[in-house]
Amino acid sequence: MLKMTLRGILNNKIRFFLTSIAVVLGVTFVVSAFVVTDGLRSTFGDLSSDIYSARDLTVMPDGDKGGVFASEEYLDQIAAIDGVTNVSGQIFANQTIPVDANGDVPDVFGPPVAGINWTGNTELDRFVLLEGEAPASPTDFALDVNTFDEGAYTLGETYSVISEAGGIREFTLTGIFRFGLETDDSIGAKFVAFENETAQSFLGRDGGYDEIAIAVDDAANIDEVQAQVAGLLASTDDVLSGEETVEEFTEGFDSFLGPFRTILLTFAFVILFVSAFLINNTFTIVIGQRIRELGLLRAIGAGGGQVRRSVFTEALIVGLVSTLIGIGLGLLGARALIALLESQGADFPDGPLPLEPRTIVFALLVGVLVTLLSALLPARRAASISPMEALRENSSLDETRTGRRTLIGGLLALVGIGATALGLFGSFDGTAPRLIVLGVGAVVAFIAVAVLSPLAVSPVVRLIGAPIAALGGPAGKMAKSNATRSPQRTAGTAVALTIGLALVTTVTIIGASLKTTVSDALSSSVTADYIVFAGGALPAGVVQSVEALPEIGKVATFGGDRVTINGEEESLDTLDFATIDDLIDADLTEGAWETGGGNMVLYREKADELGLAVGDTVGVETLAGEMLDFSVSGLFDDNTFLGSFNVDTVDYERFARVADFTTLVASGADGTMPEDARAALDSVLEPFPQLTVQDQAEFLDETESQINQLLAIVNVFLGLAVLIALIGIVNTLTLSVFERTRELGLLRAVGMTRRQMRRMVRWESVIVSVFGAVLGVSLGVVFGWAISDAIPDDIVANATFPLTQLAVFILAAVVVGLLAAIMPARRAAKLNILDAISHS
Amino acid sequence: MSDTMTALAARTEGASKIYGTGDTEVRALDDVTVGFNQGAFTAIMGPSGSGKSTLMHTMAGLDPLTKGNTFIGDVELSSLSEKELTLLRREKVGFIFQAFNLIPTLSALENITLPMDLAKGQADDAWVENVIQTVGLGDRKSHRPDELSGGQQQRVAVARALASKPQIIFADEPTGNLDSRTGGEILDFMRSAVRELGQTIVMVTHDAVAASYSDRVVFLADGKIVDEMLDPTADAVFDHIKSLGD
Repeated sequence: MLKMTLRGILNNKIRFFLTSIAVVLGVTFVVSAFVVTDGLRSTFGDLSSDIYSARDLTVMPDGDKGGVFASEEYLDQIAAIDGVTNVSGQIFANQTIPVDANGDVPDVFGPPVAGINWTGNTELDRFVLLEGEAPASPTDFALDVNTFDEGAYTLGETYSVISEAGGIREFTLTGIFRFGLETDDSIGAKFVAFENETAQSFLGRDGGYDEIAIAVDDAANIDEVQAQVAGLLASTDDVLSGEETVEEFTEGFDSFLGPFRTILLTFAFVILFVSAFLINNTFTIVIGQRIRELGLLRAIGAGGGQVRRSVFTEALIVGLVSTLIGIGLGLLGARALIALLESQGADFPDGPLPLEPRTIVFALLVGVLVTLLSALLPARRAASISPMEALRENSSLDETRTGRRTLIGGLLALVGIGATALGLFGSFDGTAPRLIVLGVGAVVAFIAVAVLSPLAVSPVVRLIGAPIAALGGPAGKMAKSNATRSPQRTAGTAVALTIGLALVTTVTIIGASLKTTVSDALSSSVTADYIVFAGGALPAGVVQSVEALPEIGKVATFGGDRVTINGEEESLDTLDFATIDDLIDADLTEGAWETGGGNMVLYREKADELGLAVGDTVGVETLAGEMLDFSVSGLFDDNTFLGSFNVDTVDYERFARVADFTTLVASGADGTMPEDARAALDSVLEPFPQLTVQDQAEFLDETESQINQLLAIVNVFLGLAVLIALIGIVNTLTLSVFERTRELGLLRAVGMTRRQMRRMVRWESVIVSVFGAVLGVSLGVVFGWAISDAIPDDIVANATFPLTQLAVFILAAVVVGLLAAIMPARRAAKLNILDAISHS
Repeated sequence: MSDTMTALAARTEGASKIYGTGDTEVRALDDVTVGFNQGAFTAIMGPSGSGKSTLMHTMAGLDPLTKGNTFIGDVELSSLSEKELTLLRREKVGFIFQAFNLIPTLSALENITLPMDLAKGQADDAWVENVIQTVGLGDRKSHRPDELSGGQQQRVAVARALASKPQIIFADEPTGNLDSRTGGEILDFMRSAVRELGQTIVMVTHDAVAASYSDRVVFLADGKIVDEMLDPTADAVFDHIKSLGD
């Protein structure tokens, strides 16, 4: 039996290849997901333990809670402790931005662009001078080599550098350095270095440091030293051991990596799921074709179990071979994945891509299991073939009866819809169980679709086949009847495309709805003409110069800090109560933007939650531990642009650590032409290339394009499912052409030209894929609508159906159909008539 | 070969067909020159491997000759391209095979008009209707092949061959799959198509009874024409085969 199975595979290499591709793709994706995330994890882990290798202790002044920095005095005291061999005070000031000769700046919305102090302490700080001189005078600065290479810089020239605290200042570029002793360890971070005192003043560290790194003599008792260091400091400051430092450093990374891996594996799962249908369909067709052969086997004494095992063995071999290929390709796929994500703006460190044993085990499990499960039903059918089939003239597998199909499909659909609805509307403890219920619901719903869709073949194909039969001549007519010949096969072939397009459509609809909601909300709430953003704080003086412009009318600035209200950590925002109502329409329905300080305006929902009304008093605890009271002066209903808690700018310094503004909104002065106002604004902001100035339309565009970018990535991955669908169609058509050899030969004998033959196969392919697309898009519309409805209204208000895009999906299906038919059509046209018609 | 006054619907000149080379060389046809009269019913007989099917396939343009020429009417086939051959088959040649004559997805009527549909030509409706009535399929027109009996299916095949009024019809063991009564009906019908409608039919068979329906039997052995018989009877044909075997 095994020999026969092997021979069967060798004799049907194309069939084997086409079946394998689906599994290979799925496994490739699984392996890529693991390899990429493992690679990032280990590179990052190595990097951080490397970076902190010389550090025995780290002092983290609790700058988080009130802008406290470690003073020079601490440094000296620590250095004096017995056993301490090296101390370095380090400054790390985000948003310190160099401007190159072309006026360009590094991307401020990506990895940090940080100002540092040049300590020259390579043991603890790992900054290595590559070229030129270290910054030594107050007018010197040095750049890391990546920033230097990417911008237009020349050693010895003078450039502007902008810092949050110091505004714009001119410095002379004296040197180029690298972060990392042997290799570049910056992972995308950019550094601008200054001489120590200059850094302290220009970066606003007030003679202090953000962090103190300490090396301890190996002979000394480190715990004792740690205790002594801790004794010197304020109680809120942390003294971390080397290990804790590495942990702190990688923790943030892991919290990003986990969801990233989950997302990748989700896509991998979608691909495998779709592949399962392809494999199932292929095996079913092949067993249908081998029915006489299998019947003969039964007739000469093979047991049902033996037949079943032979099908399973074939599936096992397909699964194993494709999984092994998939693992190999997965290593390549990992590189492709990194390239893809980097093309979308992500930045990954270079490093090895490890293939962990766990990855191999998982891939084997998934690849082989999916293949075997897919072959389960076909194997059962094969085992139930009666020996009588060998003797019949025209034997074919019976299609499952409609009644039974409706019953099973209906039950599955109920379970699927039920679970999906529960996932959408039920209450859960956390997101993970909700997503699992949703996922199971979706999987069951899709299986129900696969079971029920043969019932839709006849009516739907009649509809989409009508124009083809009318326009396509006899080839079109025959294609249409070929497509309805075996509804189960047509539906089985189309189901991969159905699932792929259902997902793409769902994502598209949610995305479109999200865009509409956001842009509706923004255009109704933002009445200001211009919005100015900084990656961090607006540079000093910017607000004043904008306010001074005669072309600009009202200006409002936004700032804020973390505070504690009613025991919860909240964000307290400041804005100009005097002008805000002219610039942002937050739908203030009660009270007023009462100026003069001490007043708070709240988002109504939040106020209701806390049981607050106009006139009540709100207690706010600042990060410095101070208690402040505000009186509620107004409530608003639209929180698109504003946060929940807002106080007037005059109160800013009472609670914030650093009174910096991050955003500015402005309107043009009355009677000023918009282009004049814009020109004036641009000219004032010109020295600060890191600022983004947008008018209302640009702001909306930007927001929409961010959503689009996200959708694009998701759709690239889901596109792989569509690719598998294409392979599935190729597979079925190839098998059908083989199966209909005699029929095609007869057609050629009675005068069908090769061109008509190709056309017939092509039209059949188009009908099958459009069938899949119509079903998929319809399902996607329903899912998209249901999910949009389930998402809270302040994120997605109403489902939007982008009809053009949905039409494009259907057209894309036509293209998929045409592509899939290329090879099978060629095979059909090339058939030797004599071979086809001569009786066997 | 006896000279005939009537025109030839199809003929071969020194037709040879060799499969394989060297030791495995098989001469399926060996310098065959034969003609088939218009409006005649000719049977080609011979034992298995005598080349009768090869002769039919090469004459119908399904298989090229190694040497020599074949003609449908005045058209020499080896000069035609693949596409021209297809069009010639569609317009000038009809086929009836032993089995699997019909496209399972098409109704009886659609099967009959298939060659005309493929040519996007207009079927001669009156003629088609006439053919259908003659073969007795009037009430079966919209049935699918799997709803027809073997005899009915074969009658549809005959009707298809006749419907486009081809210059010549090639039939390959048309009754091989039928019981003798049904087979007799089909052969009767083929003969009347020749007598009454002036159709030309060339039939390959190994059945002496089937051959007896024809006007002339051509005997093939080892790729050569060894004999022929005019106005055959089943017994005469049977005896002749036996004598060939001796």
